[in-house]
Amino acid sequence: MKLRLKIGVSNLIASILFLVLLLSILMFFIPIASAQGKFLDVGRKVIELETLRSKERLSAEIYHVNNTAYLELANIGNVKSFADVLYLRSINNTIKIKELKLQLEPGERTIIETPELTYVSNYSKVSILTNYGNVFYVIDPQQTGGTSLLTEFNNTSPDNSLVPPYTISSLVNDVDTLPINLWEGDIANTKLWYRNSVNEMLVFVSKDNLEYYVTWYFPANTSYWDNLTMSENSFSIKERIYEGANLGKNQKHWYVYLIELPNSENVEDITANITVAYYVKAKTAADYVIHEIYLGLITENSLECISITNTSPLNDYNLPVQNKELQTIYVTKVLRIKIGGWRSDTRTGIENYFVKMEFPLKTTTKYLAIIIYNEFHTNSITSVNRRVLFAVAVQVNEITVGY
Amino acid sequence: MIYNTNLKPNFFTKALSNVIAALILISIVLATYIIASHKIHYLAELRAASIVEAYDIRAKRISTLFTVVDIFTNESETHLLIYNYGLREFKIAKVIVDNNASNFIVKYASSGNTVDVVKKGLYDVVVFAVPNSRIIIITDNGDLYEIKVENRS
Repeated sequence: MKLRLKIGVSNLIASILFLVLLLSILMFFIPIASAQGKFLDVGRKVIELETLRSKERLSAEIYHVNNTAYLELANIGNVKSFADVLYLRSINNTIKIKELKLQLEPGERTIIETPELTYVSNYSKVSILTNYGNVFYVIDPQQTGGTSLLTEFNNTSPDNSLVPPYTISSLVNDVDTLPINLWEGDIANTKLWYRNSVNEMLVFVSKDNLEYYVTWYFPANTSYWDNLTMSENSFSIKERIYEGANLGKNQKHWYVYLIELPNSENVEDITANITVAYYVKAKTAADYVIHEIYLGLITENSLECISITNTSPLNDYNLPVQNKELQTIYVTKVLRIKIGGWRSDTRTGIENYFVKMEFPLKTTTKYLAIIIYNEFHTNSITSVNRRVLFAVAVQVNEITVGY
Repeated sequence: MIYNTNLKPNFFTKALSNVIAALILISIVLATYIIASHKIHYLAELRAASIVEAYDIRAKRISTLFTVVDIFTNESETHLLIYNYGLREFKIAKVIVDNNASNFIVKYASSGNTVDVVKKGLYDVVVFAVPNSRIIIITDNGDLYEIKVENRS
């Protein structure tokens, strides 16, 4: 009994001492552990937020129908997107905010009536802001005239800027240029211009496959042709077609490069002197490719009419537009290259064209269009990833407007 | 008369019982703890509070996230459009233009109402000065955001 009591008392002392020590330690560490846990929780949420933010991708397009503007938004990223507001800054530096509050699942697209965008030229900056803090530019801030301020801020994401369409510096005298990508079928897919500000490269990204791309170069990239140099008044397009990307065995893609004519009223004829270098390479023996170049004149300012067609410009004088007056576009075929089926081949060459386009009546034309049409067919049953390479470089030597 | 010379006083002949010894020891420990607890608690709380505060400050800092949407000048004003997408609302304590503190108001961009707190959404910080080189925003938790500006006029 005595022994037990002795042991028991020693344990009691040890227990009390242990409890006292434990309580002291807990009183010190509990608030620290709580604060640390809270900090780690916040850190985790911030990392999640920034990850989602970096993956968010939107494309925007403005349509005009009966003098009303519609903004089409498409989520081309792989995360859910929340378009919060449309931010518009006018050229007079007044702000307009339109609340969008749109939730877009990956691949989802939506169209919103936006009367604010009816006269886009009234704005120097139009952006879409998302809940993740991304700023997607609908109008390029670099085009802003007058006094403006360049921002340099570590929280901004200039890589996310979308710039459709992007105007480059003048090509011939006061002539402005405007490249447009067109895609057969769902034409809205073509309206994503991704600008690389470093070398002013325009990259077309399909919504179906990010590997598929078309690249615009200003001035032309002439690396596909030996001993060829082109002046500043030039551009080139490189397109790779990937059949393995579920884009189909028959693809028709066309691209338009628009040159705004400086004085376009009462025009009788227009003469274009251009140099065209072409390079078409069919990779496998089961391919059939067609590469064509056309010149066209567009008499209306509404460029949307050319961007909503889903038919290729195969027929001369019949470049289809949704504007029913077909005479508004005058097309002259200047180049046609075919690579026949069942053999692998490369066609390349440089041609100079002197094309005179006459109007039966004096008319008002606004743009000279250089239309590049690429067609790809394959009978291959095996899946080969990269199938065809098209490259074309065009130098505008002279444009003469006759009155 | 015979005396038992081995007989000692009772106090020294028998040790304290274990129970009493334990009680004495416990009493000493508790007494010491009670006496020292005030100081221990004070030091512990001071130390813990400073660590907790440091974590809180860092948590606030990393959860304050905003994007500069636009910046432009209108006569003698500078409009700085910011979008708060962070995990917390915050206040702008001070705006420094170049090297001088400037007056400013914060407006909720959608309504144009002047507000004190920047919650989630787009806000227009109207600064009554025009910068030549930079604008510095100091938030309520003491964080400093520097925006370098380049006049492109």
